[in-house]
Amino acid sequence: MSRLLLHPLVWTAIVFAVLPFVAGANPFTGTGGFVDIATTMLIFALFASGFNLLLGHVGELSFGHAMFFAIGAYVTALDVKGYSFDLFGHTWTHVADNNMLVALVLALVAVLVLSVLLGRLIIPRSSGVYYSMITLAFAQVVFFIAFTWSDLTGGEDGLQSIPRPVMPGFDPAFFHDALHFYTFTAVVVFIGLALVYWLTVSPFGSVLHAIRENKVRARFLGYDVNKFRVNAFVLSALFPAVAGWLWTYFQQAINPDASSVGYSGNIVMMSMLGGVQTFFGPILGSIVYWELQNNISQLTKYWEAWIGAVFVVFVLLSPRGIMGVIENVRTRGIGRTTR
Amino acid sequence: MADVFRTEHLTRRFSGFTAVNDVSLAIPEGGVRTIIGPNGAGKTTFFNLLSGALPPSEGKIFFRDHDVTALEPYRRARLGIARSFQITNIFGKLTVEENVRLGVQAVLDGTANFFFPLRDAATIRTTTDRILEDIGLGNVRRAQAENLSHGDQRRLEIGLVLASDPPVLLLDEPLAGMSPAETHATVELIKRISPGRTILLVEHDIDVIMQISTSITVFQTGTVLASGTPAEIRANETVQRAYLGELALP
Repeated sequence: MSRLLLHPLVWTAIVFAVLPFVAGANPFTGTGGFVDIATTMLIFALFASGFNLLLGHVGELSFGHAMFFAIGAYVTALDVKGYSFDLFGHTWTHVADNNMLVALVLALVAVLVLSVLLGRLIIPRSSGVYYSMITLAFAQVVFFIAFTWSDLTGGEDGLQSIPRPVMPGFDPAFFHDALHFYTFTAVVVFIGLALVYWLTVSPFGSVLHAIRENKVRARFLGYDVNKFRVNAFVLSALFPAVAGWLWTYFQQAINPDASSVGYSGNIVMMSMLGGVQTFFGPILGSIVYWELQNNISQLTKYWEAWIGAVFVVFVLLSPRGIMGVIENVRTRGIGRTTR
Repeated sequence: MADVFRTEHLTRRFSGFTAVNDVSLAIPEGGVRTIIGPNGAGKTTFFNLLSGALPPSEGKIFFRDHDVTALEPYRRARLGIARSFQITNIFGKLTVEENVRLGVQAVLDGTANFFFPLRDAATIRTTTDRILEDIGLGNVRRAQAENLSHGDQRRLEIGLVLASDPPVLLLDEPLAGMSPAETHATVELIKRISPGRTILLVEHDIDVIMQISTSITVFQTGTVLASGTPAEIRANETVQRAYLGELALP
Protein backbone atom coordinates (compact mmCIF):
# COMPACT_ATOMS: atom_id res chain seq x y z
CA MET A 1 0.00 0.00 0.00
CA SER A 2 2.70 2.47 0.94
CA ARG A 3 4.58 1.51 -2.22
CA LEU A 4 1.49 2.28 -4.26
CA LEU A 5 1.16 5.67 -2.55
CA LEU A 6 4.75 6.49 -3.49
CA HIS A 7 4.20 5.62 -7.15
CA PRO A 8 5.12 8.60 -9.36
CA LEU A 9 1.78 8.48 -11.17
CA VAL A 10 -0.11 8.75 -7.87
CA TRP A 11 1.92 11.85 -7.09
CA THR A 12 1.17 13.18 -10.57
CA ALA A 13 -2.55 12.73 -9.98
CA ILE A 14 -2.34 14.54 -6.63
CA VAL A 15 -0.45 17.44 -8.21
CA PHE A 16 -3.03 17.63 -11.02
CA ALA A 17 -5.89 17.76 -8.50
CA VAL A 18 -4.33 20.57 -6.46
CA LEU A 19 -2.86 22.62 -9.30
CA PRO A 20 -5.94 24.59 -10.48
CA PHE A 21 -6.39 25.94 -6.96
CA VAL A 22 -2.83 27.09 -6.44
CA ALA A 23 -1.43 27.87 -9.91
CA GLY A 24 -0.24 31.44 -10.25
CA ALA A 25 -0.23 31.92 -6.48
CA ASN A 26 1.52 35.15 -5.62
CA PRO A 27 2.66 35.64 -2.02
CA PHE A 28 2.77 39.44 -2.41
CA THR A 29 -0.68 40.08 -3.80
CA GLY A 30 -2.35 37.13 -2.13
CA THR A 31 -3.99 36.05 -5.38
CA GLY A 32 -3.81 32.59 -6.90
CA GLY A 33 -5.75 29.70 -8.32
CA PHE A 34 -5.71 30.74 -11.96
CA VAL A 35 -7.09 27.73 -13.79
CA ASP A 36 -5.76 28.82 -17.18
CA ILE A 37 -2.22 28.94 -15.85
CA ALA A 38 -2.67 25.40 -14.52
CA THR A 39 -3.87 24.28 -17.97
CA THR A 40 -0.81 25.87 -19.59
CA MET A 41 1.46 24.13 -17.07
CA LEU A 42 -0.02 20.72 -17.89
CA ILE A 43 0.14 21.12 -21.66
CA PHE A 44 3.81 22.09 -21.44
CA ALA A 45 4.45 19.30 -18.94
CA LEU A 46 3.36 16.83 -21.61
CA PHE A 47 5.36 18.64 -24.29
CA ALA A 48 8.50 18.66 -22.12
CA SER A 49 8.08 15.05 -20.94
CA GLY A 50 7.92 13.83 -24.53
CA PHE A 51 10.97 15.89 -25.44
CA ASN A 52 12.76 14.55 -22.37
CA LEU A 53 12.49 10.98 -23.65
CA LEU A 54 15.38 12.09 -25.84
CA LEU A 55 17.34 14.46 -23.61
CA GLY A 56 16.95 12.54 -20.36
CA HIS A 57 16.76 8.96 -21.51
CA VAL A 58 18.71 8.74 -24.78
CA GLY A 59 20.96 11.65 -23.86
CA GLU A 60 20.40 13.54 -27.12
CA LEU A 61 19.42 17.18 -27.34
CA SER A 62 16.88 17.98 -30.03
CA PHE A 63 16.74 21.73 -30.42
CA GLY A 64 13.73 21.67 -32.73
CA HIS A 65 10.96 19.87 -30.90
CA ALA A 66 8.69 22.92 -31.19
CA MET A 67 8.13 21.89 -34.83
CA PHE A 68 6.19 18.81 -33.68
CA PHE A 69 4.19 20.89 -31.20
CA ALA A 70 3.43 23.46 -33.90
CA ILE A 71 2.46 20.88 -36.51
CA GLY A 72 0.13 19.19 -34.02
CA ALA A 73 -1.40 22.59 -33.31
CA TYR A 74 -1.68 23.75 -36.95
CA VAL A 75 -3.13 20.46 -38.20
CA THR A 76 -5.76 20.67 -35.47
CA ALA A 77 -6.55 24.31 -36.28
CA LEU A 78 -6.81 23.60 -40.01
CA ASP A 79 -9.02 20.57 -39.50
CA VAL A 80 -11.30 22.46 -37.15
CA LYS A 81 -11.49 25.68 -39.20
CA GLY A 82 -11.19 24.24 -42.69
CA TYR A 83 -9.02 25.75 -45.41
CA SER A 84 -8.91 26.61 -49.07
CA PHE A 85 -5.72 27.39 -50.95
CA ASP A 86 -4.25 27.11 -54.44
CA LEU A 87 -1.27 24.91 -55.14
CA PHE A 88 -0.03 23.23 -58.32
CA GLY A 89 -2.96 24.70 -60.27
CA HIS A 90 -5.52 23.08 -58.05
CA THR A 91 -7.66 24.50 -55.28
CA TRP A 92 -7.44 22.37 -52.15
CA THR A 93 -10.36 22.76 -49.81
CA HIS A 94 -11.36 21.22 -46.55
CA VAL A 95 -14.65 21.99 -44.88
CA ALA A 96 -14.53 22.82 -41.18
CA ASP A 97 -14.98 19.69 -39.12
CA ASN A 98 -15.09 20.09 -35.38
CA ASN A 99 -14.46 16.53 -34.31
CA MET A 100 -11.69 16.53 -31.73
CA LEU A 101 -10.76 12.89 -32.23
CA VAL A 102 -10.37 13.27 -36.00
CA ALA A 103 -8.15 16.29 -35.35
CA LEU A 104 -6.07 14.29 -32.89
CA VAL A 105 -5.57 11.41 -35.32
CA LEU A 106 -4.62 13.81 -38.14
CA ALA A 107 -2.16 15.65 -35.89
CA LEU A 108 -0.56 12.38 -34.79
CA VAL A 109 -0.34 11.02 -38.34
CA ALA A 110 1.23 14.23 -39.65
CA VAL A 111 3.86 14.26 -36.90
CA LEU A 112 4.44 10.52 -37.22
CA VAL A 113 5.20 10.81 -40.93
CA LEU A 114 7.47 13.82 -40.48
CA SER A 115 9.34 12.41 -37.49
CA VAL A 116 9.95 9.03 -39.16
CA LEU A 117 11.36 10.78 -42.24
CA LEU A 118 13.47 13.22 -40.22
CA GLY A 119 14.63 10.55 -37.79
CA ARG A 120 15.81 8.26 -40.56
CA LEU A 121 17.47 11.15 -42.33
CA ILE A 122 19.19 12.78 -39.35
CA ILE A 123 19.98 10.06 -36.84
CA PRO A 124 22.30 7.70 -38.74
CA ARG A 125 24.29 10.73 -39.88
CA SER A 126 24.69 12.82 -36.78
CA SER A 127 25.02 12.98 -33.03
CA GLY A 128 25.99 15.54 -30.42
CA VAL A 129 26.07 19.19 -31.43
CA TYR A 130 25.40 18.41 -35.11
CA TYR A 131 22.25 16.58 -34.14
CA SER A 132 21.03 19.57 -32.11
CA MET A 133 21.84 21.98 -34.92
CA ILE A 134 20.17 19.96 -37.66
CA THR A 135 16.97 19.50 -35.62
CA LEU A 136 17.02 23.27 -35.06
CA ALA A 137 17.44 23.84 -38.80
CA PHE A 138 14.40 21.70 -39.63
CA ALA A 139 12.32 23.50 -37.00
CA GLN A 140 13.31 26.78 -38.65
CA VAL A 141 12.05 25.43 -41.97
CA VAL A 142 8.69 24.68 -40.33
CA PHE A 143 8.71 28.14 -38.76
CA PHE A 144 9.28 29.89 -42.08
CA ILE A 145 6.63 27.82 -43.82
CA ALA A 146 4.16 28.78 -41.08
CA PHE A 147 5.32 32.37 -41.33
CA THR A 148 5.19 32.82 -45.09
CA TRP A 149 2.51 30.48 -46.43
CA SER A 150 -0.30 32.90 -45.58
CA ASP A 151 -2.98 31.16 -47.68
CA LEU A 152 -2.76 28.09 -45.48
CA THR A 153 -1.35 29.16 -42.15
CA GLY A 154 -2.52 32.76 -41.90
CA GLY A 155 1.11 33.90 -41.98
CA GLU A 156 2.41 36.01 -39.15
CA ASP A 157 -1.02 36.41 -37.57
CA GLY A 158 -1.70 32.69 -37.60
CA LEU A 159 -5.18 31.25 -37.29
CA GLN A 160 -7.73 32.70 -34.90
CA SER A 161 -11.21 32.10 -33.52
CA ILE A 162 -10.84 28.36 -33.31
CA PRO A 163 -13.79 26.88 -31.46
CA ARG A 164 -13.39 24.85 -28.28
CA PRO A 165 -13.71 21.12 -28.85
CA VAL A 166 -17.02 19.32 -29.10
CA MET A 167 -17.40 15.88 -27.60
CA PRO A 168 -20.41 13.68 -28.28
CA GLY A 169 -22.61 13.43 -25.19
CA PHE A 170 -21.44 16.76 -23.82
CA ASP A 171 -23.16 20.13 -23.93
CA PRO A 172 -21.36 22.28 -26.60
CA ALA A 173 -20.82 24.92 -23.92
CA PHE A 174 -19.12 22.38 -21.62
CA PHE A 175 -15.55 23.08 -22.67
CA HIS A 176 -15.98 26.84 -22.43
CA ASP A 177 -15.73 26.56 -18.68
CA ALA A 178 -12.07 26.92 -17.64
CA LEU A 179 -12.22 24.21 -14.99
CA HIS A 180 -13.94 21.78 -17.36
CA PHE A 181 -11.25 22.38 -19.95
CA TYR A 182 -8.60 21.96 -17.28
CA THR A 183 -10.11 18.62 -16.25
CA PHE A 184 -10.17 17.45 -19.85
CA THR A 185 -6.53 18.54 -20.28
CA ALA A 186 -5.54 16.83 -17.05
CA VAL A 187 -7.04 13.51 -18.20
CA VAL A 188 -5.28 13.65 -21.58
CA VAL A 189 -1.95 14.75 -20.08
CA PHE A 190 -2.17 12.11 -17.37
CA ILE A 191 -2.65 9.36 -19.95
CA GLY A 192 0.28 10.76 -21.93
CA LEU A 193 2.53 10.91 -18.87
CA ALA A 194 1.53 7.38 -17.87
CA LEU A 195 2.69 6.25 -21.32
CA VAL A 196 5.96 8.14 -20.92
CA TYR A 197 6.47 6.56 -17.51
CA TRP A 198 5.74 3.09 -18.83
CA LEU A 199 8.14 3.58 -21.76
CA THR A 200 10.98 4.62 -19.49
CA VAL A 201 10.64 1.65 -17.13
CA SER A 202 10.07 -0.90 -19.93
CA PRO A 203 12.89 -2.99 -21.43
CA PHE A 204 12.74 -0.52 -24.33
CA GLY A 205 13.51 2.26 -21.86
CA SER A 206 16.46 0.42 -20.39
CA VAL A 207 17.95 0.00 -23.87
CA LEU A 208 17.63 3.79 -24.27
CA HIS A 209 19.50 4.22 -20.98
CA ALA A 210 22.17 1.81 -22.21
CA ILE A 211 22.55 3.90 -25.37
CA ARG A 212 22.80 7.05 -23.26
CA GLU A 213 25.53 5.52 -21.09
CA ASN A 214 27.57 3.69 -23.69
CA LYS A 215 26.61 3.49 -27.37
CA VAL A 216 29.57 1.32 -28.29
CA ARG A 217 28.82 -1.28 -25.66
CA ALA A 218 25.13 -1.37 -26.60
CA ARG A 219 26.14 -2.04 -30.20
CA PHE A 220 28.43 -4.92 -29.24
CA LEU A 221 25.68 -6.47 -27.14
CA GLY A 222 23.70 -6.72 -30.37
CA TYR A 223 21.44 -3.67 -30.22
CA ASP A 224 20.69 -1.81 -33.42
CA VAL A 225 21.44 1.50 -31.73
CA ASN A 226 20.29 3.76 -34.57
CA LYS A 227 16.97 1.98 -34.84
CA PHE A 228 16.33 2.53 -31.15
CA ARG A 229 17.36 6.17 -31.52
CA VAL A 230 14.94 6.66 -34.43
CA ASN A 231 12.08 5.00 -32.55
CA ALA A 232 12.75 7.10 -29.46
CA PHE A 233 12.81 10.21 -31.67
CA VAL A 234 9.45 9.35 -33.20
CA LEU A 235 7.86 8.57 -29.83
CA SER A 236 9.23 11.75 -28.34
CA ALA A 237 7.70 13.73 -31.22
CA LEU A 238 4.21 12.30 -30.72
CA PHE A 239 3.73 13.69 -27.20
CA PRO A 240 4.40 17.29 -28.31
CA ALA A 241 1.88 16.71 -31.13
CA VAL A 242 -0.79 15.88 -28.55
CA ALA A 243 0.28 18.91 -26.52
CA GLY A 244 -0.12 21.04 -29.68
CA TRP A 245 -3.58 19.57 -30.24
CA LEU A 246 -4.59 20.64 -26.70
CA TRP A 247 -2.90 24.03 -27.12
CA THR A 248 -4.95 24.94 -30.20
CA TYR A 249 -8.22 24.19 -28.43
CA PHE A 250 -7.04 25.96 -25.30
CA GLN A 251 -5.71 29.14 -26.91
CA GLN A 252 -8.34 29.07 -29.68
CA ALA A 253 -5.58 30.52 -31.85
CA ILE A 254 -2.19 29.49 -33.18
CA ASN A 255 0.65 31.49 -34.71
CA PRO A 256 4.16 30.72 -36.03
CA ASP A 257 5.73 31.41 -32.62
CA ALA A 258 4.71 27.88 -31.62
CA SER A 259 7.44 26.52 -33.91
CA SER A 260 10.04 29.14 -32.99
CA VAL A 261 13.49 28.68 -31.48
CA GLY A 262 12.05 30.28 -28.37
CA TYR A 263 9.58 27.45 -27.83
CA SER A 264 12.18 24.78 -28.55
CA GLY A 265 14.53 26.46 -26.10
CA ASN A 266 11.90 26.87 -23.37
CA ILE A 267 11.27 23.15 -23.45
CA VAL A 268 14.95 22.43 -23.01
CA MET A 269 15.02 24.89 -20.13
CA MET A 270 11.95 23.42 -18.39
CA SER A 271 13.36 19.90 -18.62
CA MET A 272 16.76 20.90 -17.28
CA LEU A 273 15.27 23.11 -14.58
CA GLY A 274 13.25 20.18 -13.29
CA GLY A 275 15.92 17.54 -13.83
CA VAL A 276 16.30 15.52 -17.02
CA GLN A 277 16.94 11.99 -15.83
CA THR A 278 13.73 11.87 -13.81
CA PHE A 279 10.06 11.38 -14.54
CA PHE A 280 8.96 14.43 -12.53
CA GLY A 281 11.66 16.79 -13.79
CA PRO A 282 9.93 18.10 -16.93
CA ILE A 283 6.55 18.29 -15.14
CA LEU A 284 8.03 20.25 -12.27
CA GLY A 285 10.07 22.34 -14.71
CA SER A 286 6.94 23.38 -16.59
CA ILE A 287 5.07 24.23 -13.38
CA VAL A 288 7.95 26.30 -12.00
CA TYR A 289 8.55 28.03 -15.33
CA TRP A 290 4.95 29.21 -15.71
CA GLU A 291 4.68 30.09 -12.04
CA LEU A 292 7.76 32.30 -12.34
CA GLN A 293 6.55 33.68 -15.65
CA ASN A 294 3.23 34.69 -14.13
CA ASN A 295 4.64 36.31 -11.01
CA ILE A 296 7.71 37.99 -12.46
CA SER A 297 5.90 39.34 -15.50
CA GLN A 298 3.59 41.27 -13.17
CA LEU A 299 6.61 43.09 -11.77
CA THR A 300 8.77 43.68 -14.80
CA LYS A 301 8.63 43.33 -18.54
CA TYR A 302 12.11 41.81 -18.41
CA TRP A 303 10.73 38.62 -16.84
CA GLU A 304 12.54 36.39 -19.31
CA ALA A 305 15.89 37.67 -18.09
CA TRP A 306 14.99 36.75 -14.51
CA ILE A 307 13.86 33.25 -15.50
CA GLY A 308 17.12 32.97 -17.43
CA ALA A 309 19.00 33.90 -14.26
CA VAL A 310 17.18 31.21 -12.27
CA PHE A 311 18.05 28.72 -15.00
CA VAL A 312 21.73 29.69 -14.93
CA VAL A 313 21.83 29.31 -11.14
CA PHE A 314 20.43 25.79 -11.41
CA VAL A 315 22.75 24.74 -14.22
CA LEU A 316 25.74 25.92 -12.19
CA LEU A 317 24.76 24.74 -8.71
CA SER A 318 22.51 21.76 -9.32
CA PRO A 319 23.01 20.20 -12.75
CA ARG A 320 20.36 17.64 -11.91
CA GLY A 321 17.76 20.39 -11.49
CA ILE A 322 15.09 20.72 -8.84
CA MET A 323 14.73 16.94 -8.62
CA GLY A 324 18.45 16.73 -7.86
CA VAL A 325 17.99 19.13 -4.94
CA ILE A 326 14.99 17.15 -3.67
CA GLU A 327 16.93 13.91 -3.89
CA ASN A 328 19.86 15.36 -2.00
CA VAL A 329 17.58 16.61 0.74
CA ARG A 330 15.92 13.20 0.96
CA THR A 331 19.06 11.07 0.97
CA ARG A 332 21.48 13.27 2.91
CA GLY A 333 19.29 15.42 5.11
CA ILE A 334 18.49 19.09 4.73
CA GLY A 335 21.37 21.51 4.87
CA ARG A 336 24.04 19.46 3.14
CA THR A 337 25.47 20.93 -0.02
CA THR A 338 24.47 19.60 -3.40
CA ARG A 339 27.88 17.99 -3.77
CA MET B 1 33.39 -28.72 -39.24
CA ALA B 2 33.77 -25.23 -40.59
CA ASP B 3 36.21 -22.86 -39.01
CA VAL B 4 34.73 -20.28 -36.68
CA PHE B 5 36.77 -17.54 -38.27
CA ARG B 6 38.80 -17.48 -41.42
CA THR B 7 40.63 -14.39 -42.56
CA GLU B 8 42.08 -13.84 -46.00
CA HIS B 9 44.88 -11.34 -46.44
CA LEU B 10 43.45 -9.26 -43.61
CA THR B 11 45.19 -5.90 -43.35
CA ARG B 12 44.54 -2.79 -41.29
CA ARG B 13 46.58 0.38 -41.62
CA PHE B 14 46.48 3.47 -39.43
CA SER B 15 47.93 6.50 -41.23
CA GLY B 16 51.19 4.98 -42.35
CA PHE B 17 51.41 2.29 -39.69
CA THR B 18 50.27 -1.26 -40.45
CA ALA B 19 48.78 -2.82 -37.32
CA VAL B 20 47.63 -6.04 -38.96
CA ASN B 21 49.53 -7.06 -42.06
CA ASP B 22 48.19 -9.62 -44.56
CA VAL B 23 46.96 -12.15 -42.01
CA SER B 24 45.40 -15.32 -43.43
CA LEU B 25 44.38 -17.43 -40.51
CA ALA B 26 41.83 -20.15 -39.78
CA ILE B 27 40.50 -20.49 -36.25
CA PRO B 28 38.84 -23.88 -35.75
CA GLU B 29 35.61 -24.43 -33.86
CA GLY B 30 35.78 -25.15 -30.12
CA GLY B 31 38.31 -24.75 -27.37
CA VAL B 32 40.27 -21.81 -26.02
CA ARG B 33 42.20 -20.17 -28.86
CA THR B 34 44.72 -17.78 -27.42
CA ILE B 35 46.50 -14.98 -29.22
CA ILE B 36 49.75 -13.76 -27.70
CA GLY B 37 52.40 -11.35 -28.75
CA PRO B 38 54.32 -8.32 -27.52
CA ASN B 39 52.60 -4.97 -27.09
CA GLY B 40 51.79 -3.43 -30.45
CA ALA B 41 51.77 -6.78 -32.22
CA GLY B 42 48.24 -6.15 -33.51
CA LYS B 43 46.28 -8.47 -31.21
CA THR B 44 43.61 -5.97 -30.19
CA THR B 45 43.36 -4.59 -33.73
CA PHE B 46 42.80 -8.16 -34.94
CA PHE B 47 40.01 -8.50 -32.35
CA ASN B 48 38.53 -5.19 -33.47
CA LEU B 49 38.48 -6.43 -37.05
CA LEU B 50 36.85 -9.75 -36.13
CA SER B 51 34.16 -8.08 -34.02
CA GLY B 52 33.52 -5.25 -36.47
CA ALA B 53 34.80 -2.39 -34.34
CA LEU B 54 37.10 -1.44 -37.21
CA PRO B 55 36.72 -1.98 -40.95
CA PRO B 56 39.71 -3.70 -42.56
CA SER B 57 41.85 -1.81 -45.06
CA GLU B 58 42.11 -4.95 -47.15
CA GLY B 59 41.14 -8.59 -46.99
CA LYS B 60 38.12 -10.57 -45.95
CA ILE B 61 36.70 -12.12 -42.79
CA PHE B 62 34.54 -15.24 -42.83
CA PHE B 63 32.47 -16.39 -39.88
CA ARG B 64 31.47 -20.04 -40.35
CA ASP B 65 32.00 -19.58 -44.10
CA HIS B 66 29.79 -16.47 -44.29
CA ASP B 67 31.51 -13.32 -45.42
CA VAL B 68 31.07 -10.86 -42.54
CA THR B 69 33.68 -8.34 -43.68
CA ALA B 70 31.15 -5.54 -44.15
CA LEU B 71 28.71 -6.58 -41.40
CA GLU B 72 27.95 -4.04 -38.66
CA PRO B 73 28.99 -4.90 -35.07
CA TYR B 74 25.44 -5.38 -33.81
CA ARG B 75 24.74 -7.85 -36.62
CA ARG B 76 27.87 -9.84 -35.78
CA ALA B 77 26.79 -9.84 -32.14
CA ARG B 78 23.47 -11.28 -33.23
CA LEU B 79 25.27 -14.04 -35.14
CA GLY B 80 26.66 -15.11 -31.77
CA ILE B 81 29.99 -13.29 -31.62
CA ALA B 82 30.33 -11.57 -28.25
CA ARG B 83 33.34 -9.57 -27.18
CA SER B 84 34.76 -8.04 -24.06
CA PHE B 85 37.01 -5.02 -23.99
CA GLN B 86 40.54 -4.51 -22.80
CA ILE B 87 39.52 -1.29 -21.09
CA THR B 88 36.45 -1.98 -18.97
CA ASN B 89 33.42 -1.05 -21.01
CA ILE B 90 30.22 -1.34 -18.99
CA PHE B 91 27.17 0.82 -18.31
CA GLY B 92 28.62 2.68 -15.33
CA LYS B 93 25.54 4.58 -14.22
CA LEU B 94 23.26 1.55 -14.34
CA THR B 95 23.08 -1.17 -11.70
CA VAL B 96 24.95 -4.45 -12.00
CA GLU B 97 21.67 -6.24 -12.55
CA GLU B 98 20.56 -3.82 -15.30
CA ASN B 99 23.91 -4.31 -17.04
CA VAL B 100 23.47 -8.06 -17.19
CA ARG B 101 19.77 -7.85 -18.05
CA LEU B 102 20.58 -5.65 -21.04
CA GLY B 103 22.93 -8.35 -22.26
CA VAL B 104 20.28 -11.02 -21.75
CA GLN B 105 17.45 -9.19 -23.48
CA ALA B 106 19.69 -8.28 -26.43
CA VAL B 107 19.39 -11.85 -27.73
CA LEU B 108 15.63 -11.89 -27.36
CA ASP B 109 15.13 -8.64 -29.15
CA GLY B 110 17.99 -6.50 -30.27
CA THR B 111 16.61 -5.03 -33.45
CA ALA B 112 12.85 -5.19 -33.25
CA ASN B 113 11.06 -3.26 -30.59
CA PHE B 114 9.66 -4.74 -27.53
CA PHE B 115 7.07 -2.69 -25.78
CA PHE B 116 5.36 -5.80 -24.48
CA PRO B 117 8.06 -7.50 -22.45
CA LEU B 118 5.87 -9.75 -20.32
CA ARG B 119 6.14 -12.85 -22.49
CA ASP B 120 9.88 -13.04 -21.89
CA ALA B 121 10.08 -11.42 -18.47
CA ALA B 122 10.49 -14.72 -16.58
CA THR B 123 13.20 -16.03 -18.94
CA ILE B 124 15.08 -12.76 -18.71
CA ARG B 125 14.91 -12.76 -14.91
CA THR B 126 16.11 -16.35 -14.41
CA THR B 127 18.93 -15.99 -16.97
CA THR B 128 20.03 -12.72 -15.37
CA ASP B 129 20.07 -14.36 -11.92
CA ARG B 130 22.07 -17.33 -13.20
CA ILE B 131 24.70 -15.11 -14.80
CA LEU B 132 25.00 -12.91 -11.71
CA GLU B 133 25.72 -16.07 -9.72
CA ASP B 134 28.15 -17.33 -12.38
CA ILE B 135 30.26 -14.20 -12.21
CA GLY B 136 29.88 -14.00 -8.43
CA LEU B 137 28.18 -10.62 -8.32
CA GLY B 138 24.77 -11.73 -7.03
CA ASN B 139 25.28 -9.97 -3.72
CA VAL B 140 26.04 -6.57 -5.31
CA ARG B 141 23.34 -6.67 -7.98
CA ARG B 142 21.77 -3.39 -6.87
CA ALA B 143 25.07 -1.48 -6.78
CA GLN B 144 25.90 1.06 -9.46
CA ALA B 145 28.37 -0.61 -11.82
CA GLU B 146 30.88 2.25 -11.68
CA ASN B 147 31.17 1.82 -7.89
CA LEU B 148 32.42 -1.76 -8.13
CA SER B 149 36.06 -2.66 -7.53
CA HIS B 150 38.24 -3.08 -10.60
CA GLY B 151 38.15 -6.87 -10.38
CA ASP B 152 34.37 -6.93 -10.05
CA GLN B 153 34.05 -4.58 -13.03
CA ARG B 154 36.21 -6.95 -15.08
CA ARG B 155 33.95 -9.81 -14.06
CA LEU B 156 30.85 -7.79 -14.97
CA GLU B 157 32.49 -7.19 -18.34
CA ILE B 158 32.64 -10.98 -18.81
CA GLY B 159 29.07 -11.24 -17.52
CA LEU B 160 27.90 -8.86 -20.25
CA VAL B 161 29.56 -11.11 -22.82
CA LEU B 162 28.10 -14.29 -21.32
CA ALA B 163 24.62 -12.82 -21.00
CA SER B 164 23.66 -13.57 -24.58
CA ASP B 165 24.90 -17.20 -24.24
CA PRO B 166 27.09 -16.72 -27.32
CA PRO B 167 28.77 -19.64 -29.12
CA VAL B 168 31.84 -17.48 -29.78
CA LEU B 169 33.52 -15.24 -27.21
CA LEU B 170 36.30 -12.75 -27.85
CA LEU B 171 37.93 -11.90 -24.53
CA ASP B 172 40.47 -9.10 -24.65
CA GLU B 173 42.79 -9.38 -21.64
CA PRO B 174 40.09 -10.43 -19.18
CA LEU B 175 42.67 -10.86 -16.39
CA ALA B 176 44.29 -7.42 -16.73
CA GLY B 177 44.78 -5.82 -13.33
CA MET B 178 43.20 -8.64 -11.33
CA SER B 179 44.52 -9.86 -8.00
CA PRO B 180 45.76 -13.50 -7.83
CA ALA B 181 42.51 -14.59 -6.16
CA GLU B 182 40.39 -12.78 -8.77
CA THR B 183 42.54 -14.24 -11.54
CA HIS B 184 42.00 -17.73 -10.18
CA ALA B 185 38.21 -17.25 -9.98
CA THR B 186 38.08 -15.84 -13.50
CA VAL B 187 40.20 -18.65 -14.96
CA GLU B 188 37.86 -21.16 -13.32
CA LEU B 189 34.94 -19.27 -14.84
CA ILE B 190 36.50 -19.41 -18.31
CA LYS B 191 37.13 -23.14 -17.93
CA ARG B 192 33.58 -23.71 -16.79
CA ILE B 193 31.98 -21.85 -19.69
CA SER B 194 34.29 -23.13 -22.44
CA PRO B 195 32.61 -26.49 -23.24
CA GLY B 196 30.46 -26.07 -26.34
CA ARG B 197 31.91 -22.66 -27.17
CA THR B 198 34.85 -21.18 -28.97
CA ILE B 199 36.79 -18.70 -26.86
CA LEU B 200 39.28 -16.35 -28.46
CA LEU B 201 41.55 -14.98 -25.82
CA VAL B 202 44.14 -12.24 -25.81
CA GLU B 203 46.21 -12.57 -22.65
CA HIS B 204 49.63 -11.85 -21.18
CA ASP B 205 49.64 -14.18 -18.16
CA ILE B 206 51.80 -16.99 -19.58
CA ASP B 207 51.00 -19.49 -16.80
CA VAL B 208 47.30 -19.11 -17.41
CA ILE B 209 47.77 -19.31 -21.18
CA MET B 210 49.71 -22.58 -21.01
CA GLN B 211 47.14 -23.99 -18.62
CA ILE B 212 43.89 -23.28 -20.47
CA SER B 213 44.72 -22.86 -24.17
CA THR B 214 43.76 -25.42 -26.80
CA SER B 215 45.96 -23.65 -29.32
CA ILE B 216 48.12 -20.56 -29.35
CA THR B 217 48.76 -18.10 -32.15
CA VAL B 218 51.72 -15.76 -31.80
CA PHE B 219 51.50 -12.29 -33.34
CA GLN B 220 54.46 -10.08 -34.03
CA THR B 221 54.41 -6.70 -35.80
CA GLY B 222 51.04 -7.41 -37.36
CA THR B 223 51.80 -10.85 -38.74
CA VAL B 224 51.41 -14.41 -37.48
CA LEU B 225 54.76 -15.69 -36.24
CA ALA B 226 53.65 -19.17 -35.23
CA SER B 227 50.61 -21.23 -34.43
CA GLY B 228 50.19 -24.51 -32.57
CA THR B 229 49.44 -26.29 -29.31
CA PRO B 230 50.91 -24.90 -26.09
CA ALA B 231 53.61 -27.59 -26.18
CA GLU B 232 54.57 -26.76 -29.78
CA ILE B 233 54.71 -23.06 -29.03
CA ARG B 234 56.81 -23.68 -25.94
CA ALA B 235 59.26 -25.67 -28.06
CA ASN B 236 59.33 -23.21 -30.96
CA GLU B 237 62.70 -21.48 -31.09
CA THR B 238 61.55 -18.49 -33.12
CA VAL B 239 58.85 -17.77 -30.58
CA GLN B 240 61.29 -18.18 -27.72
CA ARG B 241 63.64 -15.69 -29.25
CA ALA B 242 60.99 -13.20 -30.29
CA TYR B 243 58.70 -13.24 -27.36
CA LEU B 244 58.69 -15.87 -24.66
CA GLY B 245 62.33 -15.32 -23.82
CA GLU B 246 61.52 -11.87 -22.53
CA LEU B 247 59.11 -13.35 -20.07
CA ALA B 248 61.70 -15.83 -18.70
CA LEU B 249 59.74 -18.95 -19.50
CA PRO B 250 60.69 -21.79 -17.16
